[in-house]
Formats: sequence, C-alpha cells, structure tokens
Amino acid sequence: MENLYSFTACELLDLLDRKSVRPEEIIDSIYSRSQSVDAKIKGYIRLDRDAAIGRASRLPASGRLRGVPVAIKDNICIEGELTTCASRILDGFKPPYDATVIDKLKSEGAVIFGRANMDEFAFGSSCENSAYFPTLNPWDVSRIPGGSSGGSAAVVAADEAIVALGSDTGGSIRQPAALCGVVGMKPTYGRVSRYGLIAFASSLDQIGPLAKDVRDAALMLGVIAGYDPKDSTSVNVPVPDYVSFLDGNIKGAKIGIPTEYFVGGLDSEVDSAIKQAIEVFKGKGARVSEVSLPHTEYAVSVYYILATAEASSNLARFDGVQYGYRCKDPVNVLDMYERTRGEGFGAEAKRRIILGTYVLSSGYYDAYYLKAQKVRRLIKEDFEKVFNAGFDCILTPTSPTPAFKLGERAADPLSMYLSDIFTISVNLAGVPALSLPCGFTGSGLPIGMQLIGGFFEEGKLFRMAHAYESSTDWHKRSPQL
Amino acid sequence: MSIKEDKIKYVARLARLKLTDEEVALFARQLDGILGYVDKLNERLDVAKDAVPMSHPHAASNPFREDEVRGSASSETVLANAPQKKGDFFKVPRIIEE
Repeated sequence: MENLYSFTACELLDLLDRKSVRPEEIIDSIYSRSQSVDAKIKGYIRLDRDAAIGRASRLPASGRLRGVPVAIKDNICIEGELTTCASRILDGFKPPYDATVIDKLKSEGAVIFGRANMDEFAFGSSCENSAYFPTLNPWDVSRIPGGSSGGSAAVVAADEAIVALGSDTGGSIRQPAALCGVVGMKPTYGRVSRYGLIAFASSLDQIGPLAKDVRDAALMLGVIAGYDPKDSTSVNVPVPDYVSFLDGNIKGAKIGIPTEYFVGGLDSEVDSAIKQAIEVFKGKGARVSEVSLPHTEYAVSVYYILATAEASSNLARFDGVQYGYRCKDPVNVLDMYERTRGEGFGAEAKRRIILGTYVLSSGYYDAYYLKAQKVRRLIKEDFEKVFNAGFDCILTPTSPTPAFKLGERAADPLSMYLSDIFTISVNLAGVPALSLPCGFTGSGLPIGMQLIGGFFEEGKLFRMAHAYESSTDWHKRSPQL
Repeated sequence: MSIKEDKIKYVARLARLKLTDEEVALFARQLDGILGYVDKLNERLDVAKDAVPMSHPHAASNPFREDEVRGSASSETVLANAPQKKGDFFKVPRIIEE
C-alpha cells in the first residue's frame, strides 16, 4: 500500500485489523519517508530501522496500538537505548529501565520508532538549544519548529512519524504543536506517570501526545494515562475512554475567552484566526463569553522563578559520578563536579541553573521563590473560578506569533521566554490543555488554538477539539517537502 | 568587575558549575534583564500577601505504601553507565585530602 506514512494511527489500526497491512510495512514506509525528508527537518536524533523492524516483528498478540510506530522525545527513558535529553552531559547514557509510558506503549503493541530532538533538558521554545543540531519547521525550514518538543512536533507534521510523545513544562508540547500544525495535549498534572521522564521541573512536567488529529491524541492519552505507584505525584482517578468523547455534540457547551490573552504583542493573523475559530464554535451551538484570569500578567515571572529553581535542584544529579559525561583528568572531586557540569551543559541549561540557584539562595528566597509560590496559588484560583462558574473550556491562542526565524530570539533569553506567555499558566495551575490547528498565515505558517479544561477534564477538551476539527480541514494540510 | 559578576561567580560556585569569564559577563547582563522583568512581582507587593504558597497542583498528602521487599537492579546494571568504576564501586577522585 502506498504512502502509509501519511495515515493516522486510527486509520493504520483499521488496516492492521483487516490484515491489509503488516506492522513491518508501516515501519518501512515511515523509515523511507524519513530518509527522504529528515535531512531538511532534522527532527530525529536517532533512528534505527532494524531495531524498529525487530520490534515490529515481536509484537504482543493484541493491543490498542498494535503495530503503530511512536516517536519518543529524547528525555523519556527507554531501557538499554541512548537517552540524552539532547545534552552532552548525558553522553552515552542508556537507562536501566523503561519509563512507565514506554512500558504502557510496549504492552499495547506500539512500536518505539526514533528519538525526537528537543531543546537540551527541555529548556527552550525553539529547539535551538539541542546539543546536536536545531530542528527546522517543515512548513518553512528557515523557521524554528517551536520547543522544547520541537522534534516530536516536526516529525509528526512532516509525516516522518505517525504519533509522538513529548513533555510539557511550560508549553513544550502545545507551542511546537501550534507552530507545526499538529495536535498536542498536555494532560492534567498527575494524569500521566512521570516515572522515567528525566525531570526538568517536577511540579510542572507532564508527558503527552502529539498527533495528526484529535482522535489519535485521544487514543494515545488513553494508553499512557493512569495512576502509577512509582510516581507518587500521579493521581489515582479512573482513565475514561477518551475516544468515546468524540461525539460531535457541543451544543450548549460554555467557552470562556480570557480578556487578558488578547492584548499587545498578539500577531494580527493569529488574532483573526482565533476570532474565526470562535465563530465556528458558535455555529455548532457553543455559548461563548468573556472571562477573566486576572493574574495572567505574573505568570511568566512566577514560572521562570519556580521552574528554574526546580531545574537547578533536579540538575544537581548530573555530577559525572554515576552516568553520562565526566571531564578529563579532574584534580579533585570539586574540580570534577565543576568542570563536568561546565563542559557538559549548554548555555541555556547553565543560565537556568544560575537563575534557579540565585532565587533559592539565602537572602533572595522570600523575595522570589516564596512570593512566586504565593502568586502561583492565585493563578490556579483564577482557573478554578472560571471552571466553577460552569465553563467547559477556555479558548486562547497557543502562541502569540507563528513560527519565528531561526536565530531570531536566540540571543535574547527574555524574548524567548515570552513566547510561552499563553501556555505557562496552565502548567502552574496543573490543569489540562491542548493545541490544535485553526488556520494559516498569509505566508503559509500554521496557527494553533489552545483549549484549556478543568482538572481531569481531558475528555471534554477532546470533544470540543474534535467538534471543531470536524468542521474544518486545517489538520488535513501537509507541508510541501 | 561589577558586583553582578561577583554574584554570578558566587552562585556558580554554589551550583558547582565552572563558567568562563565570557559566560560570567554574558549571564550577568542577561540575568539583569530577566530579573528586571521578574521584579514585576514585587511591584505590587500586596497582590499575594495572604495567599498560601503553592508547591504542587494537588492537595498535598503523603502517599504511603506497604513496606514490602521487592527486587532491585543488580550492581552490574547500576554500574553499566559509570564513567569510571572499580569492582562494585563508582570510582571518583579522592574526596578526603591526605
């Protein structure tokens, strides 16, 4: 069968079910697609055809993803396979165990396929901070794909992967999904186990799917979600059948539009695409009204205090002792720590370690860290007020601009940090959100819209997103490669 | 050298992170810009005065589990990634000076 790489996971599962195609043929199809386009996109750090074919020939007898290849962000541990967070400091690291999400994918018959590029340790919004190479946007290779899960988004957009896993600490699934024109879901904090996800900011990180459409994202989340005794922050609530929410019925659903998200800095083409999307929802019977998230203006500040504080603490483990890179010929143990870390970490990781250590250091803790924790509470309460008032979701742009040029923001970290302005509050609050395509700019760059839900209301978000997707064809467009 | 560069060097020492002189100068400048933005939080000190600090999205409760004996990785597995090892141990430079 031709062009299997261009199919969705659900379409492939249907073909597999009817024995019209074998898992190995799917692997061959996306592998040869990758061979022909990845030199332009550079979405994969590692791709091993023979290993994937081997896995595809040894699948369990049944499974919800049996035969579907899944690309994996390089910060999710796979037993015995290089996992480096796109960082030099994890050079050569082969985890001794599978992350829980990998375990779940394998037992449902998914075929692990390729490691997707990312900003080092998920620090970034452009994929330019990878220690390997930047990934490029399939819609315009002079532009960035977003980040930090830029590789995951780009390989799905370029039909080099059927679906992918990413991680999202401040927008790292949703922003690249928006910039590459695919669907990306950040689940409720605690919905998916973080066991085996190499930690960036432990109170914010979540693993989630990137997919070509809403149905695939819903299917994927159903597989990876659930309580895990190995992650004490995972929450023991039942996992619904997310695909069953895709019934198209959103008549009477209440959508909130936060006034604070439609201010200066919002690209006019993004603004008008979002306004048109609101009309689509109204046409399907949804009730749309303005809401307020009054503490939005503090979100980026709160985030860059808390996230860097947690990161500086999490990255303390990379000291050259147990795994990864160690500097040459250290004269003593302090020299080993300092040079291993100085040589092993890239610029953005160092910047965040410095900032995080600074805000936690004696004399600054109250002014920065404690204050940020207090404002975090107010940001969470903003969302709770809206959802307690009966809103089913909040609709915003995912990113204030479409994909920017490679190098455009690399020299100015603050401008890079501000590209996450619409996605960060969601992680601080812990609520779920997804991004889905809602249009294109005049020059052909994808635009994404974000739907934010109440705690554990991923099903509602999939219902809303699917209803919109069924009325539009943005998700069916493919980049010319 | 400005006070800010001193502070960067001090924090880098706390974080056990060797920085070049160029990095110290660059980070001092960039941190200044980032903290200037972050100080928005301090402009309206009263905004969060009475809020309870939040460290985690869900109500905190200690997740207990049964204290059962379970298998663990072999030392061979654990040492497989070691940059340097000796016998069943990670090898590091001398920690206690002679």
